[in-house]
Amino acid sequence: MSEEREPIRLRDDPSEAAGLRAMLDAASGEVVRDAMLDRVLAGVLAGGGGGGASGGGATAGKIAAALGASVIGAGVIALIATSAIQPSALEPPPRSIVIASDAAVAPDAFLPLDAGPADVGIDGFVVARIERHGLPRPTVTEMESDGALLMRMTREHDPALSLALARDHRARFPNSPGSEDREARIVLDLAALERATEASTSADAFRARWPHSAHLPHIEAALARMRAP
Amino acid sequence: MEPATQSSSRDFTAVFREHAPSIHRALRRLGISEADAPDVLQEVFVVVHKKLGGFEGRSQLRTWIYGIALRVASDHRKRAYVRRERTMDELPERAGSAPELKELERRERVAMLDRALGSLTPEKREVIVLFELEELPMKEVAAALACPLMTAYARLYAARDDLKKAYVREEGAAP
Repeated sequence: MSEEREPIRLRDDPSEAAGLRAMLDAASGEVVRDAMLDRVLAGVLAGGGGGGASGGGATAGKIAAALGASVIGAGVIALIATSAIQPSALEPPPRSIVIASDAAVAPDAFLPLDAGPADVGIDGFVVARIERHGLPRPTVTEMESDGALLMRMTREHDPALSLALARDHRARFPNSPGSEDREARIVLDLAALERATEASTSADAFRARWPHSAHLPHIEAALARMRAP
Repeated sequence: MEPATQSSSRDFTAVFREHAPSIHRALRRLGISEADAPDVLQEVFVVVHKKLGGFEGRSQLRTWIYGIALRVASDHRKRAYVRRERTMDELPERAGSAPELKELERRERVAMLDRALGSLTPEKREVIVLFELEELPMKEVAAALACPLMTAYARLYAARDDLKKAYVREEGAAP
């Protein structure tokens, strides 16, 4: 059988969509931290098979210990957030939310967002009451970060960053009760960035979905400003 | 398996230094979360450490390690235990400078790539990761996947079709 010639990789093929190639290219820019590799290597050389001598769980544990994470209820939900923590002078802690569960989590299986004021902690950090809803409750943490992310998006003044946060929220919480606010924000951010075509398309979609939204006057004003010479 | 000697540990360290970054990157694109990646990477290299002495050189060393990584990643995904991480929190609070915005844009693209890869079957995802992202030649891809070369080609072409469709969906969903 004759051997097939090596195909051109998609990202090297100019006939492919530029966006597709850029998407594939983006992954090569990821930096792997030496400190993490050192920990992993030390773990391997120490004979570490099952303990996770490195990042992952160990890191989560360290961050939890250092930053006062909440471990909530029998659902084994470890929620670690550093947004309310002062960064170390030497090494800023990774700002991440780690959600651990002993059950597989359906990404988009959300509960109604009925968290009341009592569920909202300091600095916009939402701590829902797991016991209110019973188990299995891994989605509670989704709800938490739903609210936290929306708050962060709302506070963000840079339209590019706000847009990124909103897109992230859309990917993670497509059916969030905050969808209307999020989608409005996306239109406003696009308008602020003068991405006219995208802003108009998004505005059309918004109008179709929420024809009586209170956001519409703001959206129309933003579009008008964007189109003004 | 014989315990590693000091000498083999030194060899192993060199192997680790050379291959761990790319294996970590591949694991991430294979769907291992950032939180889990160090532990999974460790699992991979524990296997490498144990078996390096018996490596016969029938394939390239990197191909052999990628093959181990694919199996460990697959096992990891099958486990009931799931930890999910939100890396978006690593975004700068106030990104205003050009490099920060560029990095933000890159992360958005990586997130889009991960969503697109996530829509593929594990077999198709693996071939895309190895060929398109890690840039292994198809012979090595086939060796790492432990399948005939022509099967690897067929899988690649089918995977590309699915990836392109996923990309179009992502583009359509983007504001």
